[in-house]
Amino acid sequence: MSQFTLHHLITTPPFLFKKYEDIELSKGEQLIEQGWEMNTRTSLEYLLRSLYEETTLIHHRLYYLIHYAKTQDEKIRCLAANLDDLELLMKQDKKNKKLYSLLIAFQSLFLAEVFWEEEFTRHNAEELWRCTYNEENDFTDIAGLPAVVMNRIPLFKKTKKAFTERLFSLPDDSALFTYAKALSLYSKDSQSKKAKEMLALSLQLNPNVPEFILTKKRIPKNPVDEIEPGQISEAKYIGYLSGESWWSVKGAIDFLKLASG
Amino acid sequence: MLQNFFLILAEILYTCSMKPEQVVVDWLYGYETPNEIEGVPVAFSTPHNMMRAPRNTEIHNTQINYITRSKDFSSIEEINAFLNPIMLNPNNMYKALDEANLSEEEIDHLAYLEIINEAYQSTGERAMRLVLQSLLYSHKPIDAYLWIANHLSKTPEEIFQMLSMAVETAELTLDKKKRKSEMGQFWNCHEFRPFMRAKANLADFLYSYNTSQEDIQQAIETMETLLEYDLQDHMGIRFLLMGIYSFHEVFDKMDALYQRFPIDHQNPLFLYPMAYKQYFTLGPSHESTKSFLSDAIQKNPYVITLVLDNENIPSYEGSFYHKHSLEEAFYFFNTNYDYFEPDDKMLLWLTEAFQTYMKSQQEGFS
Repeated sequence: MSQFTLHHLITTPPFLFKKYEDIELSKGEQLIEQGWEMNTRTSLEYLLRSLYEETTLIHHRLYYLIHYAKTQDEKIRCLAANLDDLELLMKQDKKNKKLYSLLIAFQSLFLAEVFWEEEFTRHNAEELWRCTYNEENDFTDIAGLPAVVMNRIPLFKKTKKAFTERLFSLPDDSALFTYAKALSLYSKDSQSKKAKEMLALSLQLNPNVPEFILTKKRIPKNPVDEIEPGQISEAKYIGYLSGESWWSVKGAIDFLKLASG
Repeated sequence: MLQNFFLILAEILYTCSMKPEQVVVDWLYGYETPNEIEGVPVAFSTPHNMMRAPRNTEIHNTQINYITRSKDFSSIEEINAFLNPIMLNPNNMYKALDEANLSEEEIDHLAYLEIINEAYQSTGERAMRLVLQSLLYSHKPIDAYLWIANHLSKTPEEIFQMLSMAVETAELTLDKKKRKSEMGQFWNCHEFRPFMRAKANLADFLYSYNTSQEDIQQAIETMETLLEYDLQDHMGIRFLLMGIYSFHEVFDKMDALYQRFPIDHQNPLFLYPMAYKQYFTLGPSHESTKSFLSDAIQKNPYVITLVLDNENIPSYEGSFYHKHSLEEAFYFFNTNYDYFEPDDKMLLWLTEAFQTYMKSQQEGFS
């Protein structure tokens, strides 16, 4: 059964979450909805026209961010402003606090992805993930977040033991976790038996993954929206998340090559 | 056929009678004139263009304002000495801006101005993308709202809402103290221009859609206020007002407007409505009536040819026109079309005046 990736969720427009929650859309949001999935010209037209009714720019910034923003500065600008607006909305509209909390979490995670794009800002992403994936936080169960973080841990500047332990205590029932665990175990001890066993399990869960890691050119540059366990879509997503991590650990590529035959 | 005949004939006669230097000499209507080159006719921006699009110079003015505000100049020479190297080399401008310790808000504002300016010079998807981008850099994107209202809004309700939002936002940008000190010369103050444009757009919309007497009254009052905000009327609001007063036969206000702007005493956008007014108040045979009409025909004979053959006058969509041109005549009807439907008596008056003009041109030509 396919499931949405975290990367899909963080780019989902707020009006869709409102619809899932049966919250009535404003006239402006209705216009945005009409244009969101259409061709670029029509989408832009509806988005801009919606301003006559829509007082916030959350959708506008998100659309710009997804389709046009080129520099990190512009991307951060979009997300930081959206976070400010959402916090304000949460204070004003207490009835829908849960919705706004969720949207804030997703926009923060989007911000983490933007920070992750540039090596010199990755420490900010780490910080955001740590804050989001905190025991006191309501969002420890955000779908897909553990996999995103686990697959990137070898690239972290600072790893906090408690944080990684919590992540690695997750069950070994998904290739999204097991490949990350195998790499982590290997990075600590290249002769680790556990690492070999975990990699063998990973290959059972999804044998397509090495294809998207072993050759640098084949590592996907963009995430996928949906994945199906054991299928190519999942393998591509794992490749996208962890390709760089595997190449960063000395000997890990050979370890994977050997195991995958 | 008749229309074409008049137009061609008028064009031939007028072109032959013109001295080349006239085209340049009689320029100054009081409009802001872009791309002025010595010896070459300058295109005038229509009032609608003035109110709808920011001027290129606004970015430059804002930059100059930012880099000079902390300086304490004691003479014009000192100002020139400071500004000349900056004006001559754009790199010097960027350097000066770097040294000006701009706040983040000011840096964003400059970015916004550049993006929205580019949007106004673009079309289609690119323009829309730029307008969207401009929203990232300003909390008060007045010209972005105006662009949307004038280019994308579909219903009168949408247009009205967008323009009202632009005006409300613009009101928030005005510094109370500065509003007082700059009264009468708002156009010279770069921060006030979006406010002026927003007000003018809303007034023009309210008048054009004239859904109620109240709207019309509000439109007229707003336009009159704009003339108080900018005594020189750089946007050309007076030409819209002249047409409106004329349509509603507010003759005393027409007189007052005419007297207030001597610079336009030879402007066909003033002369034709004034001739019309004189016709109704003093009669066709009065010397003043004849004089106004004769001057009006001299300045733009296309207007009368279009009136005499009053059918299918296209709405003028252009942003600029040249003095004495057909475009100027078309633009005239954008603001004066409604009332120029002559009865038989008036038609006779106009035909006679036009025949006299043609005769004088033929004599001059031969």
